[in-house]
Amino acid sequence: MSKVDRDLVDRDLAVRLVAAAARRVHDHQEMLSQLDAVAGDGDHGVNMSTALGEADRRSGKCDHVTAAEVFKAAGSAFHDTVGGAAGALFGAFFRAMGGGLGRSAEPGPADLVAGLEKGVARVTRVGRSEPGQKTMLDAMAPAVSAARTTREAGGTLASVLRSAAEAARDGAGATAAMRPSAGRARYASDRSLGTEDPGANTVALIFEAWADEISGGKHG
Amino acid sequence: MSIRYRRFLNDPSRAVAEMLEGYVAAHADLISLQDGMVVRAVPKPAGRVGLVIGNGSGHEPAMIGWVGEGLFDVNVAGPIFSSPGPSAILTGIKAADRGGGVLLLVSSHAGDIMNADLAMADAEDEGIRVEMVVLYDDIASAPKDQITERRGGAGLFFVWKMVGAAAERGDSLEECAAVARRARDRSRSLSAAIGTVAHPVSGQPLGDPDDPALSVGMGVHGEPGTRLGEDVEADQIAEHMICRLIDDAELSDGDQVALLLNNAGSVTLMELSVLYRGAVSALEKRGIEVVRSWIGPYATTLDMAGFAFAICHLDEELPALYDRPARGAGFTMIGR
Repeated sequence: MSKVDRDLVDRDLAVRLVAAAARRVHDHQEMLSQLDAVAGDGDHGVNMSTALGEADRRSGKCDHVTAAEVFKAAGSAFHDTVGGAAGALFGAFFRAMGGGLGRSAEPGPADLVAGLEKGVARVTRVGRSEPGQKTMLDAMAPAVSAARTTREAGGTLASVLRSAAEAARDGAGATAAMRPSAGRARYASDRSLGTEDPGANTVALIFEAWADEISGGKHG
Repeated sequence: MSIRYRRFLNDPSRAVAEMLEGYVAAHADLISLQDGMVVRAVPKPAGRVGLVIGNGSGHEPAMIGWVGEGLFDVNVAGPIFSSPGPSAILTGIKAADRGGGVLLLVSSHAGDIMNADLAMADAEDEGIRVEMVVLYDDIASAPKDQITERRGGAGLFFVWKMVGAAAERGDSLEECAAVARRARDRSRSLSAAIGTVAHPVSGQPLGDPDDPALSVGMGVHGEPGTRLGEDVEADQIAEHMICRLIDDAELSDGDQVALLLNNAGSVTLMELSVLYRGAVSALEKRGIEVVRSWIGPYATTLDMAGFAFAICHLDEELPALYDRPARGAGFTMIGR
């Protein structure tokens, strides 16, 4: 039985997911920086691309034998390379996600959902934030919640990630109408009205890259 | 408004690393690089409290110029306008440890606090004796009843100076943290700018490059503030800003303050001096005496055409700490 048939998040799939996220964010870094420049300092795309590039380099190392180790290494890459609020939060997300996956020797869709839930909980805590404040959580929380619903209906990894990607994109879109009340953008609350949150966009790009990667390497 | 996109740099993504190399080379008697961090060339005597700060780059001489005797032990310079990550901050904490404990000072910005929190958790896991104090002073960033939500600004230079002196003379970790909190609670700042600057790596302007308004209360990363009319004069601006600072600090006739006028980058000394004169006049007509003052670039935003006023309401003890000598590449005080 092939790995795909067994529907596991194994080490090789995790490496592919990190690489797909890195490519996708790299391809959209200018758009992300432009979103960030509206209420921030215009470096979000560059920083995320830098961190995911380093995550990609590190995740494929031979000493990572589980998916959990791959995601933890990806998270550390954020913490070691870029800093800033986004670096702290995405790093915390990937590390916690690895931690959540790590409990299972052969993580399947339910373990992936558990990892994602751990990630979103960590971002909530480290960021002292909650959905509705025009942050990455406005894409991440609905994505993870959609992932859980799909899994509970018996969904595969592919359908879990596709539903997460769609919910993340909708969530990112909804941030345009929000006023920021957390992070640096809160000082520019009028200025950012009508513009989507850059962090939420990065979340949507990552989930879309994952959904495309797992459903056969389609690149959008 | 003109905005300068072209800079004297090589690959912009290497600018911070190359800046650090150049800066320590120019000040090799005072500072050196260790694991990418600015440290003192001659470490503080063993047993004293080590002081660490991490911050985004692009604010020089903050904080690379504030490492030295009577100042910081270690500065962890992050990417431009972006806090360093927890791994780098943890390395900085370890490098500052002289056996008397380490005080991590954080200028309140979302990313700085998050990364410091993550580094503190790791430091505690490793059994390092470290405390963290979050500092804020910018009265435009949150109302007074939410004072802990305020961000860090130019008034924190009073805090750095005083806590640096306390650590140098041998105060304990708890005493140093208490000095930092007291100086913070007595300091206030407010900034103003015309136009904006572009991020050297992304090329993106911070905010609207075509907005010619003079804005009061913007942040050090171009966060917007209140717009003032285009025809206001320096004295009116100084009066408006100092009045707001006095109100917020609840200063009254007979109080003594230290006054700082920070150049955010490209304001001329001519303009600064005129503004300083206006600020002193606004303070003195309310019976508030300026007994110490600094004027110049402390925390810049590249070459932003802006400035900030900061005041510290002095008490019995703070002037003694203020007056102790300090010797960094970007700040020197002979002491008195």
